Order: sequence, then structure tokens, then C-alpha cells
Amino acid sequence: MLSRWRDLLPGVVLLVMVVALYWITTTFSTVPALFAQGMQATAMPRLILGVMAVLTLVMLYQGYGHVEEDKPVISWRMWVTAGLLLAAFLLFEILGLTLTMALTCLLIPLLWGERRLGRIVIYAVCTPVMIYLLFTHALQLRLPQGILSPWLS
Amino acid sequence: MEHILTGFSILIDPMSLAVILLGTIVGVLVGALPGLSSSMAVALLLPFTIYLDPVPAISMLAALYCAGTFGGSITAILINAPGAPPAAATAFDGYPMAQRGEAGRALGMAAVASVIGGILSLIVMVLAAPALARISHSFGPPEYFALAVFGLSMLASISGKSPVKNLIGGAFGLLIATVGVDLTTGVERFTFGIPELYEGISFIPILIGLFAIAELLSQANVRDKVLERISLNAIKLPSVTDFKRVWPTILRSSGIGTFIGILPAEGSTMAAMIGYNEARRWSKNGDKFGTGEIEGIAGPEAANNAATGGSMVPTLALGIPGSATAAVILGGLQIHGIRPGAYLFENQPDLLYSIFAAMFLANVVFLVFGLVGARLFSRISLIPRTFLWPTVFALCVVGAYGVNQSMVDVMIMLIAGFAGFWLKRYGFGAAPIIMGVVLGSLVENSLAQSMIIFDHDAWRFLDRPIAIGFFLLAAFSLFYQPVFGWLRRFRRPRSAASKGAK
Amino acid sequence: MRHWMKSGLLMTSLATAALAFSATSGADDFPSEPIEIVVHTSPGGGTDTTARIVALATQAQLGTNVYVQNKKGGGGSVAMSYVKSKPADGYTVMAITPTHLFTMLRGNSPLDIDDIQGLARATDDPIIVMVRGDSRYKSIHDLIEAGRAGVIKWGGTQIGGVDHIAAMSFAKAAGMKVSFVPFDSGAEFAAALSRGDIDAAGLNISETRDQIAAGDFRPLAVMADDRMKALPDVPTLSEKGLDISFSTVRGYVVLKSTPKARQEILEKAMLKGMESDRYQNYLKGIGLDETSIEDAADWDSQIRRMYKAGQETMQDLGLAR
Repeated sequence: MLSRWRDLLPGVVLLVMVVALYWITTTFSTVPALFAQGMQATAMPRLILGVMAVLTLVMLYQGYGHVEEDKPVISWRMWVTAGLLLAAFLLFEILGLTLTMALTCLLIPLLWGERRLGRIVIYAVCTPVMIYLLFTHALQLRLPQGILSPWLS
Repeated sequence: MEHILTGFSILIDPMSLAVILLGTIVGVLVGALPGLSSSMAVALLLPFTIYLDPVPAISMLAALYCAGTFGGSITAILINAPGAPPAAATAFDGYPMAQRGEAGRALGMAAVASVIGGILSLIVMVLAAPALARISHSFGPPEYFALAVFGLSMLASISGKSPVKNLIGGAFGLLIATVGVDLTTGVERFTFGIPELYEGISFIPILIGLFAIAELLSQANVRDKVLERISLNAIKLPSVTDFKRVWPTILRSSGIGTFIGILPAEGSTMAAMIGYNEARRWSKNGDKFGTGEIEGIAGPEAANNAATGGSMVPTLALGIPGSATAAVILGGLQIHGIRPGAYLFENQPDLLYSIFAAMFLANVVFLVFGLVGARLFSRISLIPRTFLWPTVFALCVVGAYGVNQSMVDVMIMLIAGFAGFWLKRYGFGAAPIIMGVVLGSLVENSLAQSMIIFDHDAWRFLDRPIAIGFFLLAAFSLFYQPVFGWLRRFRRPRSAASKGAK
Repeated sequence: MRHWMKSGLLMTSLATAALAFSATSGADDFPSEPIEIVVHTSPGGGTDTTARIVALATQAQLGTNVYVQNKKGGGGSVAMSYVKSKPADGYTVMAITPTHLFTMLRGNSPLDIDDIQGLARATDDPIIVMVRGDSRYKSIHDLIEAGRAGVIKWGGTQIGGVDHIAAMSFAKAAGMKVSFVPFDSGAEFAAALSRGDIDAAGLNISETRDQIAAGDFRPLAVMADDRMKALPDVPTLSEKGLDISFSTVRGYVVLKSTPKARQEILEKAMLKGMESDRYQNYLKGIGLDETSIEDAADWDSQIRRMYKAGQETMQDLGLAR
């Protein structure tokens, strides 16, 4: 029966989010009476959340009785890629941007089915070096270099 | 007239020409890098302009500004990663075109539309800058609130997806904009104790995440098969037929862009979104927008570049920056001991026209650069995706980190990326979310300010004619379709059943 | 680009570095590494631009690289935790504004007023009580009277910022009622004042010099101890018996535990750098003059006085911890 209810999943997720965020608005600090002039800080977020809840209900109503549209299958590669991006984020602080990028540039092509190993290695070395040179030396933007920081400024 | 000639005479000074050229090329390249917007580039170059005379220095920054706004469209089209916020709307139709193997056509159109928009707005500026300055001066909180309401009225129709989902996306964008300290009460909202969120979520990481990271995740899903590449078509430039089709769009967007540009604090991003929406509204192929319509590139590109010229007006005449980049250019003026403000026009009209001349030249330079470059850059769309997307990821991380040197921004980018992927999967487009974020603080702050100014009497909005004008436009924008549909049905009751549904 | 500059400046900087070295003989070879100035905003704002110009001017004196590091967030608290995480060796300098002080007062800051030591002040822009040129408030007394009888709509930047604290301190001391309208920038509420959307505003001379000269705006009183050189006829609030002094100041501090000798080298280099034509020209561009520049002793005591004044008002408003 649930299979004949389009947008059920996003609808439920959105409603849960609205409730959670509404609860967070109750934790906002209150404004000292001296300059509470008209609109309270909670007014706008609550209004938006309310509108969102109503719209989500409309969406659910519109979707009832319709079959979910076909969606592309999510492959295991997508999940691993997503995990890789998260892992990269956690590694930035330790390894620094340049080294982490070398790793992602090595692993993502392998993961996505690239088999020309020589090319991958050249690519994984050149890309981070180019980015480092471009940003740090040409554009003067300092990037965190983690364990490499003694060598790369 | 004499001042105009004096101002434009910088175009025969070799030093000025050289720095304007340099500014333009640096601008296009930096603008193209995701995360590094033109405002960033101008800010970083600012101290070095000390070594130049004031006129070439400001001209270089102005040229950089124009070129940076155009540069953003290159990456928006090629890899769905808008190089700067104003190019976000260009990605909606540009990237699908590039995927179809028409990157060159899209890039060429972006270059031409940008240049026409930019030059038309400059002509308006040269002819009527002082009058336009008066318009921008008359824009106060009530007028902004009305403008924001007009912007909100576009949310349902801004993309071809389901109107309800567009509205939910817009509300989501508005909600993102409430993060941080509330201007009118000083209360922290949705900051979760993270100090980096205190001044609000930065726009750029959200943009990069919603577009580029979400697309990277979709690309991970693509099956192994080698995609067919229509390599010959990729470098083909737009045809004469294309231009015949888009010229009304370009003209309309140039007008919109110029107008939004002269409003203090409203920059190219809003102009581009409105330009895109109006292009879609008036197009015969409105339904196909989002799948690679060439008008969907001309609309935002003409508008965002027209806005760059426009935004110099309040910046110079009122000292109120017309956009984030204009704010930095304001600093550039101050470094050279020039005080912008109401009296700059009277005291130093030459400087003003020199800036317009520099922007004019920048437009011509990046037209050439853009058209020649289109053939070159379009080859990027031919790079195998296994090598292209890791590079995009690396650039995105640097871009998100670079703005505020903050890992929190990188995290925001990733979250926006995952959310964007999921939202796209369930038919929520990025367009209304972006529009919501752009309008968010404007709606709330201008309403709160207006209410204090009006002593909490909402009827006093009716004392402000400009505000009434925008409220009427908003009403028109919301109701013209149902009303027109109803009129059509009334006239031709038979064929109505099939058409009236829209 | 920097490399090119570096070599260009090398000659002069070597000479000055040698001088600085001999002057403080006995000190180590400070500075031998690049110095960073930590700014609490994104690139582009007034504090950032000022810091970049000061960095260039100081670098010419020290012969070492001086660069700006942007650490935005938390009303300066991100910048302050960053500075706290760095060793107190003089290589990390922080740009400081009233915002930082109020963040400390709110209890949101990893640093306290006693952890920092002023080096030099770069800009000083006292807040001026301003009304429209054709306003019926001819003097500060007219405004105070009107504020006691009714409500004055007063423009400023965000709640809890220096404009707000200044306006509220003034209102409280004068016994007026003020309805505070917050805007994003000074130029915006200057425009609102000239449109007549608000009755009065606390504006800086940097934003309004031309409008005052043309008679569009009328300055009623200055929130400073002494009259301003640029406005010799405008009284101060303290002359009127209201001890209120607030200013949009920008200056530089280091951690208090930084060796004294290094502090002195930095202070000298900054002050000398700010005497340069380039910095003076910048001051002119933002509508200020050389009175903005102040040495470590005076700047440090100004920070502390402002902190105390802010503390009283914020406790009254219920904003301080």
C-alpha cells in the first residue's frame, strides 16, 4: 500500500525535520525586554517552519495514490564515494589538504572503474601539486598542510 | 560630455590598458574557480593597487569585477560548479547542455549575453548615472521588503518541477538564511554552539555543495560504460539562429540586471535569478527549462553582468556597496584617498567615467577571451569523468575552505552536497533553494526595520509608491497564469480541458 | 606577486631591520619569520582593508613578511581562539574592534581583556549624534527633550554592536526613550536618516564628512572626551554632563605574555609604518586624519575604558554574562 504513495519518504523526513527544528526554536535565548520591539527572533523561523509543514502535507496529499516515479538505482559506488568524501574531510586536519587530495585523486578514479594505473598515479601526483602552486603561490591563499606543514607554507 | 571624454581617455593610456587587461584575465580565471569569487580576488589584490595611480587601480578592480562575474559561468556550464554565486542560475541549463555535448554553444552564448548585458547597462550608466543614484537613494527598508515579496512570488515557478516542491525548497532556503545572529534582536539562531555559524552560514559552500558535490555523487552512480562523446559538437559555437531566438531575453535581462544592480546591497545573484525566471516565464519553451535551453543561459548571464555595471552607482554615489564585490572596490577607492558618497559625482566626474570606460573595455576583452576560450574550455567536458570529478572535488574543497579559512565551511559544503543529491533525487530543484537563501535575510530584516519605522502600522506601506509598485508586480507574477488560463478557457471552452491544466 | 614585492622592498627593509635590531640590542633576532595579523571578518570589510594596508606599511619597516589571516566567526571569538592557540611570541598579531570587547563581555570568548596587550591604534572614529540638516532638533538638548517626551527612532548597526551599546548608554544617561532600528552598514542608516525614515543616528565622521559640509546632516554632539579636530564647534556629550565615550576603533593587540622587547619592536614598526604617505592617504580616503594613530600605552588604556563602559551598559541591558 505504501508503494502507492509518491513522496512518502521525503514527506516524512521533512516533517520530522520541521518538528525537530521547531523544538530548537524553543531553546533560543529570549530578548531582554528593553529592546523587544515587535518581531521576536523566533517569529520568522517558526513562520517558515509552519509554511513548510503545510506545504509538505499538500505534497503528501498530492502524492497519495500515485506510484513513486522511477529513480536511478543507487549503486554501492555512490555509498563508497560518499564515505570517501567524509573520510577525506576527517583527514584534512591531520594530513593537510594537499596530501588528502592526492589520496582522493588516487582512490576515486580506482573506485569509479578507471584501470589505467600509470595515468592514475601521474594524475594523483600532478593535480594536488598544481592546486597547491596555484592557490598558495599564485593566489596567496594559505591552505592547512597538516603533517606536511614544515615543508609547504 | 567633456567629462565622459576625459574619463574614456584612459583607454589610450598604455599603463591603464595593461592593468585593465591583466584585471580582466585574472578576473575570468579566478571567477571560474569554484569558491573564489570576484569579491575574494578583488580583496586579495586590493593592497597591491597601492602601487598604481588611483584611476588605473580602480579601473583594474572594476575590470576584474566584470570579468569575474562572467568567469563564474565557465565552470557552471562545464562541471555544474558555479564559480561564483551569480553564475548559479547559469548552471541550471548550461550544465545539461554541456552534458549533451553542446558545451561550446553554451559557453559562447554565456560570453555574448554577458557582454551585451554589460555594455547595455554601462550605456545607461553613462547617460543617467546621477538620476539612477536618486532612485537607489529612495530605496529604504519598505521598498526592499516589497522587492523581497516580489522575489518570493517567483518561488513556485522558478523551475519546471512541481510547484509545491519548489515552494518547499524556497522555504528551506529561507530557513538556511535565518541561521546566525538575528539582526534585529541579537539572538543566536540555529548556531548549535558553533561560533563559525554566528554570522550566518556562508553562501558559497552551500552553492558548491548543492551543485558540484551533489553532481559528483550522481556521477558515482553512472554505470561503467564509456559515455559517448560527440566531440565535434562540443566546441561548436552558438549559431545565428540561436541569437535570433534569444535577443528578447537578453534585452529583458539587461534591463532587469541594470535595475537590480543599482539597488544598494542587491547584487548580481538576485539579478541572475530574476533574469532566469523571467526568461522562463516569457519563453515558448518554458517547460523545457532546466534540461538545457539556450535562453536559460542568456537570461541569467545578461542580467548578472548588467548588474555589475549597475552596482557601481550606489557604491560610488552613496557609498553603499551595490554588491559584495562593490564593497571591496569601495575599500579600493579609500586606499587611494577617494571618499565615495553623494558628492563624488560632482567633484570627480572624470573618475566615474574612467571606471565605466574600464568596465567597457573589460567587456570587450572577455568577449574575445570568452569566444576563443569557449573552444578551448569546452574540451574540459571531454575529460573522462573518472579524472574530471576528483579534480572538481579538490577545487571545491579549496574553494569552500579558502573564503574564510574554515573547516566548518568544508563541512557545510559536504552536508549541502549530500542533501542536494537526495533532494534532487526526489524532485526538489536547486533554483528555489538558492532564491530562498538570497532573499532570506532581506525579507526578515526589511520587514522588521519597516515595522519600527512605521511604528508597527503595516498600512503605512501604502505611503510608499515604489513599494506598492512591487507588491502589484508580485501579485501579477503570482496570478497572471491562473487569470490568463481562465480567460483562455472562457473564450474557448472546448479546447480548455487540455490546456487549462498548466 | 609577493616575491616580486619582497625583493623590491628588501633594500629598505634590511636597513630598517638592522636599525631596529641595534636599537633593541640584547633582544633576539625578532622578527625572523612572517608575522600574521588575524582579522575577524572575510576579506573586504573596513577592518580587513585597514589591516592589509597596515600589514604592507609594517612589513616595509620590519623587513619580514606581514600578512592578513581571516578567521571569521562568533563576533571575533573564532579569531580569538585562533590567537589563543598560537604561541605568545609576537608572530601573531590580532586586529581588535569594539566587537571583540563586547564578545568578551557576553562571555563567548576564549580570551579575556586581561589576556591582551595593545600595540597601536590604526583608526579612531568617534560616534556622533546626528540628525537631518532640516531637522527640528537644533541642539542635543532638543533631541533629549523630545526623547523624554516621546520616542526617538535611532539608526545603528546590529543589536549588541558598538552603535547599539552607544545609543542605549546615551539614552539611559539622558533618560530618553529610543527605538533602535538596526541596519547592515553605516552607509545604509545614513541613507535612512537622509530619507527621514529615522529621527537620529550615531554616525561616524568617516561616513558623513561631505553631508555635514553640505548641511544635509547636522552633528549635535560627539561621544568622545575631547572635541574633534574636524568638528571644532560640535560639543562633546561629556561637556553636557553625560560621560559617554564610544568610538569605532580599530587597533592591534598581542597576547599579554608576549616578551616586552618584541612588543616594542612591533609597536615601533606599526607606528612608523602608519606615518607613511600611503597609510595617511588611506586615512584620508576613509574620512579620518592622523589623530587616529595612537601608541601602545594610550591605545591599551582606551580598550580597557571602553570595556568597562560597555560592561555597565550591557549588564543593564541584560546582555553581559
